[in-house]
Amino acid sequence: MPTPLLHVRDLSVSFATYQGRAMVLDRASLSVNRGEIMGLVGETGCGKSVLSRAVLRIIPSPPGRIDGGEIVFEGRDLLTLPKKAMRALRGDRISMIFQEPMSSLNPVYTVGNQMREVIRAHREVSRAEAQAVCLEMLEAVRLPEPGTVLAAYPHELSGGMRQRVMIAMELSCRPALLLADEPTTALDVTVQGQILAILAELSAREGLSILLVTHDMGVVAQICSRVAVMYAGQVVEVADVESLFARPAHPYTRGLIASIPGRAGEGDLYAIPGSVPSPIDPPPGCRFHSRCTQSGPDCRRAVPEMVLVAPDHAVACHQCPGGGRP
Amino acid sequence: MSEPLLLVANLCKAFPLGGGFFGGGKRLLKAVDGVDLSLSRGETLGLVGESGSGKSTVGNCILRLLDPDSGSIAFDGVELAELTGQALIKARARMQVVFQDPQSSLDPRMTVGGIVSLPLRVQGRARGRELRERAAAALSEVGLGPECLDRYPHEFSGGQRQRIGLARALVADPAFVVMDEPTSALDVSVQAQILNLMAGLQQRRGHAYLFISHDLTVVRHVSRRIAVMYLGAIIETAPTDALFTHPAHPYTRALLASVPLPDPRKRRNLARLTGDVPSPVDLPPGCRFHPRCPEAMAVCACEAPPKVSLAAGHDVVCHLHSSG
Repeated sequence: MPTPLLHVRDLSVSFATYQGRAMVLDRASLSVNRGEIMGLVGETGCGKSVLSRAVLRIIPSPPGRIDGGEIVFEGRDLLTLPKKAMRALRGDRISMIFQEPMSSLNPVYTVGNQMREVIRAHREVSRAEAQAVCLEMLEAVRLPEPGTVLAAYPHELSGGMRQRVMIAMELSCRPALLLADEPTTALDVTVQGQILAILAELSAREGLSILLVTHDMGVVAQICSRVAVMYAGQVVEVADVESLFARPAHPYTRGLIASIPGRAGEGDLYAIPGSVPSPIDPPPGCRFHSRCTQSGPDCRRAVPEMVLVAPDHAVACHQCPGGGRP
Repeated sequence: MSEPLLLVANLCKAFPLGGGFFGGGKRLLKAVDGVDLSLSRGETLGLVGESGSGKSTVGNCILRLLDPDSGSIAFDGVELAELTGQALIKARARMQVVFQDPQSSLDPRMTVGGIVSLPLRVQGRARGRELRERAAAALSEVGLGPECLDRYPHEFSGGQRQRIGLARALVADPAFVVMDEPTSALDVSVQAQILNLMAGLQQRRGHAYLFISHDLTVVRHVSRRIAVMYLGAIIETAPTDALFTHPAHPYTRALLASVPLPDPRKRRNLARLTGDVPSPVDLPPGCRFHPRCPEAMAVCACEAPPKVSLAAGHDVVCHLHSSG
């Protein structure tokens, strides 16, 4: 089996709040293989963005704190890396794009200025060489008239164009891993389609690995090869995308898929009862047990471990055959 | 066929953009440009479009939260467009609205009881004890207990706040409710709860919904008919099944093809359209969709397309269907 490009193991992160410490990530594990698009799905507050930010160590601290675990990338544990080495890695080997491209771009500098800065921070190149790389990257994300875009300020571009500029900028040093945190959530559906197509193409052509954080199961189904499902700070299921949609094993994943409207069905949608528990005082055992229709006494007592139920399909649930404890 | 509950004809609304510092020429942003709509009693009409298409402005004009520039809005036989003052309050007593953001649409300084009973107080239809009782009754219809009456909006989750918004809309027993992206701020599992609740309330109460959303899958689930907007105009209206099986306008087709289906066995090319929605300040001449249209012809760039009826209740505004 090939070693994964990124391996997050038992990562725990908490934040200090006035109500107490919020356990936002609780021993979360996942891996991203070379050249694949790995989906990370979950609802608001499940910790999916915190996980992707922890990989780059950009969680504000305080109030945030990484309590344990390891993040192995290209054979090195990022959590023990010196600050300077970590800084060299960001934007070079690992890049990140965010939901709102306007707030990620500096409004007082031109696009070209900001793109060249990234390149020259990591590479010993002249201004002209950096300019050439910029133009090439803007063409790769299918921006018309890249020369005009380079001279433009962010406010002169539309939302879709800004997100393309962000992708071009983040990929200009040819990273091995792109962390994409809800990259299309702020965009209209026709523009979202264009951006997803670009990400899928770059991954296939350049062998780029992408960790795609999203709440949209449709986006996952369309471009991801594997998926991790998170609930209340824990990874509850990891599978290849076909298995996840055809044979979802965790009751939460099943509820999530069943509550998507528009599969031509009339009548009521399936709705998961109740709401997500608070991370400050999470329920003991399986964090989903209070909303689960199948929970038993084990579910309240012990946190279920991730267990393989099929090749490349792991689930953390006491009620799944062979699930719960190894 | 019975007379429609709501009949909107040739609705227009433009927003002037501030001129330059030295008083340069004022420009107009045409948010809504000649919209016709009709809605029967107890029906749900979906209004879909991308951001900036003017769908929320249509809803706000119907409710007279915005004053339309021209056009008529007949609600239950009464013309709303020109009414003012007490006459307007009286005429729209049976219209309500639920907004997208349950955070900003509930006053943080009012108790839930005060928020939910406000429509009755404004209309002078109840006082004192009765206000509280009717608020409690409306809350119980949306699945919240009477203990919520004296609590404040910040104590509730997003889904619960949207239930409070629904209770406020229901308390005055409306015949018509504008739903302006009511589930866009919610997670999918909570969205399902709210959509089921809305459908149940409609079955019991028999009110009509204008359901405004950018999300085609949600609109498909709730609506019997759908109107598609692009840059301020309705470009296609059809019964839901017809729209999804035989979309006639190239924009509708592209919109349907861009929806990421939650099924990995049905992967498809999501990049059906190039470019972004143009600015509604400088509308393209002719058909407003022609610069992005994969099937544009010469005539599309100069002449506005006519409205063509393809089947009962299925209208499209497109040159492709005009010469058939």
